[in-house]
Amino acid sequence: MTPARLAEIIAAFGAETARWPAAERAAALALAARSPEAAALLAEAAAVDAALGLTRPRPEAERLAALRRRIAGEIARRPLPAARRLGLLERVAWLEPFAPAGVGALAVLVAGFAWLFWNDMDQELVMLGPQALSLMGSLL
Amino acid sequence: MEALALPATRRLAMRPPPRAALDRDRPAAPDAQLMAWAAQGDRPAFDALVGRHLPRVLAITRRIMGAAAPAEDAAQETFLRAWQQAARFDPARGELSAWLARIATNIAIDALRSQRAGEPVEAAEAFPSPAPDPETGLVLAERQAGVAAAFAALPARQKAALALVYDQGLPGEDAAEALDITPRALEGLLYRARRLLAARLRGDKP
Repeated sequence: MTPARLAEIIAAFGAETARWPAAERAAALALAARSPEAAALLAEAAAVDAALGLTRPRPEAERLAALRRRIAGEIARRPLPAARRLGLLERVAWLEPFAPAGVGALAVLVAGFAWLFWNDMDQELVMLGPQALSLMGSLL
Repeated sequence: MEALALPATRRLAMRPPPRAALDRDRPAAPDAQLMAWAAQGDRPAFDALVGRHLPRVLAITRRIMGAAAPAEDAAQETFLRAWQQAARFDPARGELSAWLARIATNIAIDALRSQRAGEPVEAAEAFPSPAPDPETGLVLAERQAGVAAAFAALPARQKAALALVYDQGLPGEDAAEALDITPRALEGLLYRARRLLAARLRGDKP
Protein backbone atom coordinates (compact mmCIF):
# COMPACT_ATOMS: atom_id res chain seq x y z
CA MET A 1 0.00 0.00 0.00
CA THR A 2 1.46 3.32 -1.08
CA PRO A 3 0.30 6.79 -0.04
CA ALA A 4 -0.81 7.39 -3.64
CA ARG A 5 -2.98 4.26 -3.65
CA LEU A 6 -4.47 5.16 -0.28
CA ALA A 7 -5.36 8.61 -1.65
CA GLU A 8 -7.07 6.94 -4.63
CA ILE A 9 -9.09 4.66 -2.36
CA ILE A 10 -10.24 7.55 -0.17
CA ALA A 11 -11.05 9.71 -3.21
CA ALA A 12 -13.21 6.95 -4.72
CA PHE A 13 -14.78 5.19 -1.73
CA GLY A 14 -14.83 7.94 0.88
CA ALA A 15 -14.05 7.92 4.58
CA GLU A 16 -16.26 4.96 5.52
CA THR A 17 -13.67 2.19 5.62
CA ALA A 18 -16.27 -0.58 5.27
CA ARG A 19 -16.66 0.55 1.64
CA TRP A 20 -12.95 0.24 0.87
CA PRO A 21 -11.91 -2.73 -1.31
CA ALA A 22 -11.75 -5.76 0.99
CA ALA A 23 -8.44 -7.01 -0.43
CA GLU A 24 -6.66 -3.71 0.37
CA ARG A 25 -8.57 -2.61 3.46
CA ALA A 26 -6.17 -3.86 6.15
CA ALA A 27 -3.09 -2.35 4.50
CA ALA A 28 -4.91 0.90 3.78
CA LEU A 29 -6.12 1.17 7.38
CA ALA A 30 -2.60 0.57 8.69
CA LEU A 31 -1.17 3.29 6.47
CA ALA A 32 -4.03 5.71 7.22
CA ALA A 33 -3.42 5.33 10.96
CA ARG A 34 0.13 6.71 10.72
CA SER A 35 -0.27 9.25 7.90
CA PRO A 36 -1.15 12.90 8.66
CA GLU A 37 -1.91 13.47 4.95
CA ALA A 38 -4.43 10.63 5.06
CA ALA A 39 -6.18 12.27 8.03
CA ALA A 40 -6.78 15.43 5.97
CA LEU A 41 -8.06 13.41 3.02
CA LEU A 42 -10.37 11.44 5.29
CA ALA A 43 -11.82 14.65 6.77
CA GLU A 44 -12.62 16.02 3.31
CA ALA A 45 -14.06 12.68 2.21
CA ALA A 46 -16.25 12.53 5.33
CA ALA A 47 -17.83 15.87 4.35
CA VAL A 48 -18.75 14.46 0.93
CA ASP A 49 -20.08 11.29 2.58
CA ALA A 50 -22.28 13.40 4.85
CA ALA A 51 -23.59 15.43 1.89
CA LEU A 52 -24.40 12.22 0.03
CA GLY A 53 -26.20 10.95 3.11
CA LEU A 54 -28.30 14.13 3.25
CA THR A 55 -29.58 13.61 -0.27
CA ARG A 56 -30.04 9.84 -0.05
CA PRO A 57 -33.48 8.84 -1.34
CA ARG A 58 -35.78 7.56 1.37
CA PRO A 59 -39.01 6.61 -0.37
CA GLU A 60 -42.11 7.24 1.72
CA ALA A 61 -44.08 4.26 3.02
CA GLU A 62 -47.33 5.31 1.29
CA ARG A 63 -45.66 5.64 -2.10
CA LEU A 64 -43.97 2.27 -1.64
CA ALA A 65 -47.27 0.61 -0.74
CA ALA A 66 -49.03 2.19 -3.73
CA LEU A 67 -46.24 1.13 -6.07
CA ARG A 68 -46.28 -2.41 -4.72
CA ARG A 69 -50.02 -2.63 -5.44
CA ARG A 70 -49.43 -1.24 -8.93
CA ILE A 71 -46.75 -3.84 -9.64
CA ALA A 72 -48.96 -6.67 -8.30
CA GLY A 73 -51.78 -5.54 -10.60
CA GLU A 74 -49.46 -5.45 -13.58
CA ILE A 75 -47.98 -8.88 -12.75
CA ALA A 76 -51.52 -10.32 -12.54
CA ARG A 77 -52.11 -9.25 -16.14
CA ARG A 78 -48.77 -10.56 -17.42
CA PRO A 79 -48.19 -14.08 -18.74
CA LEU A 80 -46.29 -16.59 -16.66
CA PRO A 81 -42.48 -16.33 -16.65
CA ALA A 82 -40.72 -17.67 -19.71
CA ALA A 83 -39.28 -21.16 -19.18
CA ARG A 84 -35.52 -21.32 -19.18
CA ARG A 85 -34.01 -22.86 -22.31
CA LEU A 86 -31.75 -25.74 -21.36
CA GLY A 87 -28.19 -25.95 -22.65
CA LEU A 88 -26.84 -29.15 -24.24
CA LEU A 89 -25.16 -30.34 -21.03
CA GLU A 90 -28.34 -29.77 -19.01
CA ARG A 91 -30.40 -31.68 -21.57
CA VAL A 92 -28.22 -34.79 -21.18
CA ALA A 93 -27.81 -34.39 -17.42
CA TRP A 94 -30.15 -37.36 -16.86
CA LEU A 95 -27.42 -39.60 -18.34
CA GLU A 96 -25.00 -38.69 -15.53
CA PRO A 97 -25.62 -41.86 -13.42
CA PHE A 98 -24.64 -43.96 -16.42
CA ALA A 99 -21.35 -42.11 -16.91
CA PRO A 100 -19.08 -44.80 -15.29
CA ALA A 101 -20.64 -47.54 -17.41
CA GLY A 102 -20.31 -45.37 -20.48
CA VAL A 103 -16.65 -44.64 -19.81
CA GLY A 104 -16.01 -48.36 -19.26
CA ALA A 105 -17.74 -49.28 -22.52
CA LEU A 106 -15.76 -46.64 -24.35
CA ALA A 107 -12.49 -47.98 -22.91
CA VAL A 108 -13.35 -51.54 -24.00
CA LEU A 109 -14.23 -50.26 -27.47
CA VAL A 110 -10.94 -48.37 -27.80
CA ALA A 111 -8.96 -51.37 -26.55
CA GLY A 112 -10.76 -53.62 -29.07
CA PHE A 113 -10.00 -51.32 -31.97
CA ALA A 114 -6.37 -51.01 -30.87
CA TRP A 115 -6.00 -54.79 -30.65
CA LEU A 116 -7.52 -55.26 -34.12
CA PHE A 117 -5.30 -52.53 -35.58
CA TRP A 118 -2.03 -53.92 -34.19
CA ASN A 119 -3.04 -57.47 -35.01
CA ASP A 120 -3.60 -56.49 -38.66
CA MET A 121 -0.24 -54.71 -38.75
CA ASP A 122 1.55 -57.85 -37.48
CA GLN A 123 -0.21 -60.06 -40.04
CA GLU A 124 0.67 -57.67 -42.88
CA LEU A 125 4.32 -57.75 -41.81
CA VAL A 126 4.25 -61.57 -41.67
CA MET A 127 2.68 -61.75 -45.13
CA LEU A 128 5.03 -59.16 -46.60
CA GLY A 129 8.20 -60.82 -45.26
CA PRO A 130 8.36 -63.86 -47.68
CA GLN A 131 7.17 -61.71 -50.60
CA ALA A 132 10.00 -59.25 -50.02
CA LEU A 133 12.55 -62.05 -49.83
CA SER A 134 11.36 -63.62 -53.11
CA LEU A 135 11.42 -60.19 -54.77
CA MET A 136 14.98 -59.64 -53.63
CA GLY A 137 15.96 -63.12 -54.89
CA SER A 138 14.52 -62.48 -58.32
CA LEU A 139 16.44 -59.26 -58.56
CA LEU A 140 19.68 -60.94 -57.72
CA MET B 1 -67.65 -19.90 -21.44
CA GLU B 2 -66.31 -16.49 -20.63
CA ALA B 3 -63.00 -17.94 -19.47
CA LEU B 4 -62.65 -19.91 -22.70
CA ALA B 5 -62.79 -16.68 -24.68
CA LEU B 6 -59.59 -15.50 -23.00
CA PRO B 7 -56.14 -16.19 -24.47
CA ALA B 8 -54.37 -19.32 -23.25
CA THR B 9 -51.90 -17.35 -21.14
CA ARG B 10 -54.75 -15.60 -19.29
CA ARG B 11 -56.55 -18.91 -18.73
CA LEU B 12 -53.32 -20.34 -17.27
CA ALA B 13 -52.97 -17.25 -15.11
CA MET B 14 -56.48 -17.75 -13.74
CA ARG B 15 -55.93 -21.43 -13.02
CA PRO B 16 -56.18 -22.11 -9.25
CA PRO B 17 -52.78 -22.86 -7.70
CA PRO B 18 -51.96 -26.47 -6.79
CA ARG B 19 -52.42 -27.53 -3.16
CA ALA B 20 -48.64 -27.53 -2.55
CA ALA B 21 -48.50 -23.86 -3.54
CA LEU B 22 -51.17 -23.01 -0.96
CA ASP B 23 -49.06 -24.48 1.84
CA ARG B 24 -45.97 -22.41 1.05
CA ASP B 25 -44.55 -20.27 3.84
CA ARG B 26 -43.64 -17.32 1.67
CA PRO B 27 -42.75 -14.75 4.36
CA ALA B 28 -40.13 -17.11 5.80
CA ALA B 29 -38.76 -18.40 2.51
CA PRO B 30 -35.34 -17.15 1.35
CA ASP B 31 -35.07 -15.10 -1.83
CA ALA B 32 -33.78 -17.98 -3.95
CA GLN B 33 -36.74 -20.18 -2.97
CA LEU B 34 -39.23 -17.40 -3.68
CA MET B 35 -37.66 -16.84 -7.10
CA ALA B 36 -37.85 -20.57 -7.86
CA TRP B 37 -41.57 -20.51 -6.99
CA ALA B 38 -42.05 -17.32 -8.99
CA ALA B 39 -40.43 -19.01 -11.99
CA GLN B 40 -43.19 -21.64 -11.73
CA GLY B 41 -45.82 -18.89 -11.88
CA ASP B 42 -46.35 -18.28 -8.14
CA ARG B 43 -47.47 -14.65 -8.11
CA PRO B 44 -47.83 -14.34 -4.29
CA ALA B 45 -44.21 -15.52 -3.97
CA PHE B 46 -43.14 -12.81 -6.37
CA ASP B 47 -45.20 -10.23 -4.49
CA ALA B 48 -43.31 -11.19 -1.31
CA LEU B 49 -40.07 -10.49 -3.18
CA VAL B 50 -41.40 -7.14 -4.36
CA GLY B 51 -42.20 -6.26 -0.75
CA ARG B 52 -38.66 -7.12 0.31
CA HIS B 53 -36.72 -5.45 -2.47
CA LEU B 54 -38.87 -2.55 -3.66
CA PRO B 55 -37.38 0.03 -1.24
CA ARG B 56 -33.83 -0.71 -2.46
CA VAL B 57 -34.80 -0.83 -6.11
CA LEU B 58 -36.75 2.41 -5.88
CA ALA B 59 -33.88 4.08 -4.03
CA ILE B 60 -31.54 3.14 -6.89
CA THR B 61 -33.82 4.34 -9.68
CA ARG B 62 -34.68 7.53 -7.80
CA ARG B 63 -31.03 8.31 -7.11
CA ILE B 64 -30.23 7.91 -10.80
CA MET B 65 -33.35 9.57 -12.23
CA GLY B 66 -34.06 12.22 -9.59
CA ALA B 67 -37.77 12.72 -10.11
CA ALA B 68 -40.21 10.43 -8.33
CA ALA B 69 -42.63 9.45 -11.11
CA PRO B 70 -40.10 8.21 -13.71
CA ALA B 71 -38.15 6.49 -10.93
CA GLU B 72 -41.30 4.59 -9.90
CA ASP B 73 -41.93 3.63 -13.53
CA ALA B 74 -38.35 2.33 -13.75
CA ALA B 75 -38.74 0.38 -10.50
CA GLN B 76 -41.97 -1.17 -11.81
CA GLU B 77 -40.26 -2.08 -15.09
CA THR B 78 -37.44 -3.70 -13.08
CA PHE B 79 -39.86 -6.06 -11.36
CA LEU B 80 -41.82 -6.80 -14.52
CA ARG B 81 -38.58 -7.80 -16.21
CA ALA B 82 -37.54 -9.86 -13.17
CA TRP B 83 -40.92 -11.66 -13.29
CA GLN B 84 -40.56 -12.45 -16.97
CA GLN B 85 -36.97 -13.66 -16.52
CA ALA B 86 -37.46 -15.36 -13.13
CA ALA B 87 -36.32 -18.72 -14.50
CA ARG B 88 -33.02 -17.18 -15.56
CA PHE B 89 -32.04 -16.17 -12.03
CA ASP B 90 -29.27 -18.43 -10.76
CA PRO B 91 -28.63 -18.11 -7.00
CA ALA B 92 -25.22 -19.75 -7.46
CA ARG B 93 -24.09 -16.69 -9.41
CA GLY B 94 -25.02 -14.08 -6.82
CA GLU B 95 -27.62 -12.54 -4.55
CA LEU B 96 -31.04 -11.55 -5.84
CA SER B 97 -30.49 -8.00 -4.58
CA ALA B 98 -27.41 -7.66 -6.83
CA TRP B 99 -29.36 -9.10 -9.79
CA LEU B 100 -32.21 -6.64 -9.25
CA ALA B 101 -29.75 -3.77 -8.75
CA ARG B 102 -28.21 -4.57 -12.11
CA ILE B 103 -31.59 -4.61 -13.88
CA ALA B 104 -32.74 -1.42 -12.13
CA THR B 105 -29.50 0.40 -12.93
CA ASN B 106 -29.64 -0.49 -16.61
CA ILE B 107 -33.30 0.50 -16.92
CA ALA B 108 -32.78 3.82 -15.12
CA ILE B 109 -29.66 4.72 -17.13
CA ASP B 110 -31.39 3.84 -20.42
CA ALA B 111 -34.48 5.84 -19.45
CA LEU B 112 -32.38 8.85 -18.48
CA ARG B 113 -30.43 8.70 -21.73
CA SER B 114 -33.52 8.30 -23.86
CA GLN B 115 -34.94 11.61 -22.63
CA ARG B 116 -34.77 13.78 -25.70
CA ALA B 117 -32.39 16.70 -25.73
CA GLY B 118 -34.27 19.87 -24.92
CA GLU B 119 -37.11 18.03 -23.25
CA PRO B 120 -37.76 19.65 -19.87
CA VAL B 121 -36.48 17.32 -17.21
CA GLU B 122 -38.47 17.15 -14.01
CA ALA B 123 -36.34 18.56 -11.22
CA ALA B 124 -35.00 16.26 -8.55
CA GLU B 125 -37.44 16.34 -5.69
CA ALA B 126 -36.24 17.10 -2.21
CA PHE B 127 -36.46 14.33 0.34
CA PRO B 128 -37.91 15.13 3.72
CA SER B 129 -35.31 15.32 6.46
CA PRO B 130 -35.69 16.31 10.09
CA ALA B 131 -34.38 19.75 11.07
CA PRO B 132 -33.72 20.63 14.74
CA ASP B 133 -34.48 24.37 14.45
CA PRO B 134 -35.37 26.85 11.67
CA GLU B 135 -31.87 28.34 11.33
CA THR B 136 -30.08 24.99 11.18
CA GLY B 137 -32.84 23.74 8.94
CA LEU B 138 -32.20 26.60 6.51
CA VAL B 139 -28.47 25.88 6.37
CA LEU B 140 -29.13 22.20 5.90
CA ALA B 141 -31.72 22.86 3.22
CA GLU B 142 -29.32 25.15 1.33
CA ARG B 143 -26.54 22.61 1.49
CA GLN B 144 -28.92 19.83 0.54
CA ALA B 145 -30.18 21.82 -2.43
CA GLY B 146 -26.63 22.56 -3.56
CA VAL B 147 -25.55 18.94 -3.34
CA ALA B 148 -28.79 17.78 -4.95
CA ALA B 149 -28.20 20.16 -7.86
CA ALA B 150 -24.62 18.98 -8.21
CA PHE B 151 -25.78 15.38 -8.04
CA ALA B 152 -28.45 15.98 -10.69
CA ALA B 153 -25.77 17.34 -13.02
CA LEU B 154 -23.66 14.16 -12.81
CA PRO B 155 -23.62 11.74 -15.76
CA ALA B 156 -25.99 8.79 -15.35
CA ARG B 157 -23.26 6.21 -14.80
CA GLN B 158 -21.61 8.27 -12.08
CA LYS B 159 -24.96 8.59 -10.32
CA ALA B 160 -25.45 4.85 -10.65
CA ALA B 161 -21.99 4.13 -9.21
CA LEU B 162 -22.74 6.34 -6.19
CA ALA B 163 -26.19 4.80 -5.75
CA LEU B 164 -24.81 1.26 -5.73
CA VAL B 165 -21.72 1.81 -3.57
CA TYR B 166 -22.88 4.53 -1.17
CA ASP B 167 -26.62 4.06 -0.85
CA GLN B 168 -26.82 0.30 -1.28
CA GLY B 169 -23.44 -0.62 0.19
CA LEU B 170 -22.60 -3.01 -2.62
CA PRO B 171 -18.96 -4.20 -2.66
CA GLY B 172 -16.94 -2.67 -5.49
CA GLU B 173 -16.86 -5.92 -7.46
CA ASP B 174 -20.65 -6.31 -7.34
CA ALA B 175 -21.25 -2.67 -8.25
CA ALA B 176 -18.80 -2.95 -11.14
CA GLU B 177 -20.57 -6.09 -12.37
CA ALA B 178 -23.95 -4.35 -12.16
CA LEU B 179 -22.59 -1.58 -14.36
CA ASP B 180 -20.78 -4.06 -16.61
CA ILE B 181 -17.39 -2.40 -16.05
CA THR B 182 -14.14 -3.31 -14.31
CA PRO B 183 -13.57 -2.46 -10.63
CA ARG B 184 -10.89 0.00 -11.76
CA ALA B 185 -13.37 1.77 -14.06
CA LEU B 186 -15.85 1.92 -11.18
CA GLU B 187 -13.23 3.68 -9.06
CA GLY B 188 -12.84 6.20 -11.87
CA LEU B 189 -16.59 6.91 -11.91
CA LEU B 190 -16.70 7.31 -8.13
CA TYR B 191 -13.61 9.51 -8.10
CA ARG B 192 -14.97 11.91 -10.72
CA ALA B 193 -18.39 12.11 -9.07
CA ARG B 194 -16.98 12.76 -5.62
CA ARG B 195 -14.52 15.34 -6.92
CA LEU B 196 -17.38 17.35 -8.42
CA LEU B 197 -19.47 17.09 -5.26
CA ALA B 198 -16.49 18.09 -3.10
CA ALA B 199 -15.93 21.15 -5.30
CA ARG B 200 -19.58 22.18 -4.89
CA LEU B 201 -19.33 21.72 -1.13
CA ARG B 202 -16.30 24.03 -1.05
CA GLY B 203 -18.41 26.59 -2.88
CA ASP B 204 -16.67 26.31 -6.25
CA LYS B 205 -18.81 27.43 -9.19
CA PRO B 206 -19.89 24.64 -11.56
